[in-house]
Amino acid sequence: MPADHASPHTVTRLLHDAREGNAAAFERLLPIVYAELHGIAERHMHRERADHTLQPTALVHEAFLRLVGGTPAEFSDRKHFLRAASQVMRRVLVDHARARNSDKRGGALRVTLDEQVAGHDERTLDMLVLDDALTRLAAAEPRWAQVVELRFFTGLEVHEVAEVLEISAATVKRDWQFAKAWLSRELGAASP
Amino acid sequence: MNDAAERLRRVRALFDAAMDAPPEERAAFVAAASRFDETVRREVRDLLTLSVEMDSVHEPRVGSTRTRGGDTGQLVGQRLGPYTVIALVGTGGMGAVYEAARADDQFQKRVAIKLVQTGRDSDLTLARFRRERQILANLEHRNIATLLDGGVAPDGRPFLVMEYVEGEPITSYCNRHSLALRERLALFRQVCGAVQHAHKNLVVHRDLKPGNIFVATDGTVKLLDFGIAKLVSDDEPGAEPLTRGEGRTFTPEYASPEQITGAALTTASDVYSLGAVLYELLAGRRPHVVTSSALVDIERAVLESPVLPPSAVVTDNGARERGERGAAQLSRQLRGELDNIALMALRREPERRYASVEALGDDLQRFLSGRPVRAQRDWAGYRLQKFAQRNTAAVAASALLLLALVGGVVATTVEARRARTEQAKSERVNEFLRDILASVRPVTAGRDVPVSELLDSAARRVHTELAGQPDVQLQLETVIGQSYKALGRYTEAEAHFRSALDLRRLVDGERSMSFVVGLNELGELVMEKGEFDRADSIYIQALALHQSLTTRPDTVLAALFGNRGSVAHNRGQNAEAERLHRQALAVKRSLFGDNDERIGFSLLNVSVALGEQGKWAAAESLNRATLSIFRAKHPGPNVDVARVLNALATALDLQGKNPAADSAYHETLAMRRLLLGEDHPDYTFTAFNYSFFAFDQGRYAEAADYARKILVLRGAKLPDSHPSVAAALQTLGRCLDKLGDTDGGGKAIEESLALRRKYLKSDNWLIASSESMLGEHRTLTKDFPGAERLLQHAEEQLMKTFGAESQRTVANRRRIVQLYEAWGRPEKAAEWRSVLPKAKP
Repeated sequence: MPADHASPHTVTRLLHDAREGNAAAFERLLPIVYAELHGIAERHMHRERADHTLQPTALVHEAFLRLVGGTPAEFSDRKHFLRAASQVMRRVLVDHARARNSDKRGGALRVTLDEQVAGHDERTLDMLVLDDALTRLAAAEPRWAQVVELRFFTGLEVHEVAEVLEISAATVKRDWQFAKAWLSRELGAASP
Repeated sequence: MNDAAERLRRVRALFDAAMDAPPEERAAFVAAASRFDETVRREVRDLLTLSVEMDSVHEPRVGSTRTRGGDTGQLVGQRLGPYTVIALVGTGGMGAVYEAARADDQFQKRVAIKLVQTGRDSDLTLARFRRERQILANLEHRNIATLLDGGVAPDGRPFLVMEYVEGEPITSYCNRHSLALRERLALFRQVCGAVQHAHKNLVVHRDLKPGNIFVATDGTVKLLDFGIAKLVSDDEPGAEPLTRGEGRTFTPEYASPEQITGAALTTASDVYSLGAVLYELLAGRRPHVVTSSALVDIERAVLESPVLPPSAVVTDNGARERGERGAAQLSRQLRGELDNIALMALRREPERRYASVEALGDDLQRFLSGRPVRAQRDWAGYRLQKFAQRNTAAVAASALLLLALVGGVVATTVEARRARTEQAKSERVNEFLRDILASVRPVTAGRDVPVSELLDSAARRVHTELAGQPDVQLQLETVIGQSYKALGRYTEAEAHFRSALDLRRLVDGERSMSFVVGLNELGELVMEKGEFDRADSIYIQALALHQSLTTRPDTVLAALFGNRGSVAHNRGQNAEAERLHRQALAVKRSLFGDNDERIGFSLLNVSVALGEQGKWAAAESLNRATLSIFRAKHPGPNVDVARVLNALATALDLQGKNPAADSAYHETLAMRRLLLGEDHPDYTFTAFNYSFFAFDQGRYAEAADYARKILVLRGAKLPDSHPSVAAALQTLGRCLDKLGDTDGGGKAIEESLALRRKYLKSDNWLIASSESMLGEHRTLTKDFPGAERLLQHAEEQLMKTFGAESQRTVANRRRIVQLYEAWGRPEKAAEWRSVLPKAKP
């Protein structure tokens, strides 16, 4: 179901409730953020040629400004938003990639990640393969995938990820190091 | 719960534990972690390597500028990944080779580890290293040593792990076992098979020599170091040739001439090196005697001194190593066919060698089974060598053209006519030509003897010396006519073809198939002169005669239809061209069936005619049919396959089937690069189309790269008068504009226009096209009056040539609209917009 138009007020309240530990509030946030990100991504894709490059981090920031408003926010206010955004950004990109693939005439979707997967910097990153690999990573330990989502799709620094996930920076670092190598190997194997 | 998840958790656990160890101990730690199974350990090893690579990707690698060639075995006893280094086996231009064993293996599997020496200034990135490694790892063949693994040593040097081959170089193996010639050839055939397999996988060895061709203790041939020469040489576009200084990665005595001069390396280069190894196996010494390692000496030996036939250089010693009593006995065995085979592989010009390793191997098989071999004594080349030594390179080049042609014509004549008397006649033709060539002497030293002078003397002597032998005269007149034609001297050529035609009338009569053939030859010449109407009437006359002689289809009939099709194509009558090529196709189908290669060429002609009519979908399906015929014959890289792929890429491109076009373009480029090299016109042609395609896709940087690839050939290879130069400049300029370099863009487009104005007739539409592009550029740089002048002029010319409906006219008018909009003259913009076709929904 498409999300209703969300006023900044709703989003701010949902974020506030989520901060208070209201899980339902966080769940309700997801479709709103998805709709917003999806819309922005669509506009970006159509504004230019078919081979336009998407920069997820920029999209997330744009979405935040549109949903929460222009007021500068403390990081603690943003963090639930970013957590939601990182999750749905992945879905947005995957859905885009699927749509592109079914439309044979469309150009390839290019995604520029803030952090690169080694060896894939000059090429189109295949979102579907990445998504599949992330799903397998999450099956072993959801946190590993969350770290990747926050680093890849919202461009957070290690200490910011640590704060959002409420774990130590050392753990994030190690998770990240492992996930990056593992994904690079998986993606390399998928596209010889 | 989930096996994969559980396994991944184990991978992570081992990864974490290893990361806690000091970096240099991690590999050993993983190898020793025996509670994890082998696949987990292997995966973690990969991850550790990747992890190190990724961390170092952005910072300059420490140690990459370390001393070269300083490897003296200091790694012995140390660990490299899971391997323990046992001994230094050798050092070479590319780095050091160690024998090692897997530390964690109970049965101590031995491997060879090659530490790759990265050049002083070569920027061999690990990512590229890994990519190449993957290609090589896929090269599976029983005669190729398997690439098992690879990694990065603690000091940052990449290393390769290969199957350890216990054995010795093929030459010393053969000598130690005193193998007879036939046994040596059988071994060498295995070598050919392995190289052929690699070529099919688009990998060229580049450094074939006995030291890389081992015979294992069980008697199997194993090729080492496949593609390694490429891996360690930086041959990204624009890189210098391999010959720079000590960065050389080939072995001079087995290197091909093109390798020495730094020209493009192709499969022909491997054919040459194999020829050198074969030579040594047969004769007991190398084809060239190189007295020093100075580049200038190597060059002189390989490029200038002729290769003597193996039979001429054998010694008594060598003979005994081959189980023969003495030099005379061995020489007798080599003389003739084996001499010819080795020398054909070693010809200086790549295009005159065996066309592939497969062809070389086949010829050896023919020899072994007692059938006549394909290689012929290279009397033309020998003469040519002498001739060229006395004359300048320009003369040599045209002489080559002539001689190859003469050789070709005589050879086909021989094949076509089997009767003994005909062969005797051909022999006389050959003798005559040999005589002519031998008689040429420069009158004074340093004076060039033009090839045409040689031909002229032949032409005079045909009448005097062969009077009374009209059948021999007839063949020579044809040969001479073909030679003049190849030199572009069409008037003389036509005189000789006409005189051949008169002789045919005399010998065979006017109502004969021979006369039809003569007419067709004459028609082909007239067509090449560009006189299409006259050519067509000759073909029509020949066709009428043919049909009055027989109702049976034959190859002459197919040729006549095909030639008329070409005339129609050249006149721009594309529907007619299609019809005629289809007739030629029908004749060939009735002669050869559906799957013959000769059908393929007619299909290709039909597809070109279809393309000219814009019927790209139909052209595509014909190209696909042709492709499957050609691929069935040549599963690997092949020039004809590449030609069809090229046509297919165009058909896909113009239908907007972009991903398919992209891959067809890339396959064409890869094949042509491999077979012909980047400086060959066919490669250039595809590169040019591809740059256009990439431009349309908005991939401006890539399009510019390919345009530049064409432009580096400017000069001798590609004169400025060649249309590709102006076209590539135009594409480059437009790319630079798009990339924001309007200075560079303007310069390139201006030069493109200047070249076209210089070399084309003033009313050629290509000039208008350049003007239109330059006009667009001027709009971009806000020189509005300049843009207006150019676009206006282009408009007039395009209207005159194509009319208002043409896409080219419309594109120019769009640029005019853009100009007036940018200039702030909306009323003019609206006026021009109103003559544009309505935008498609």
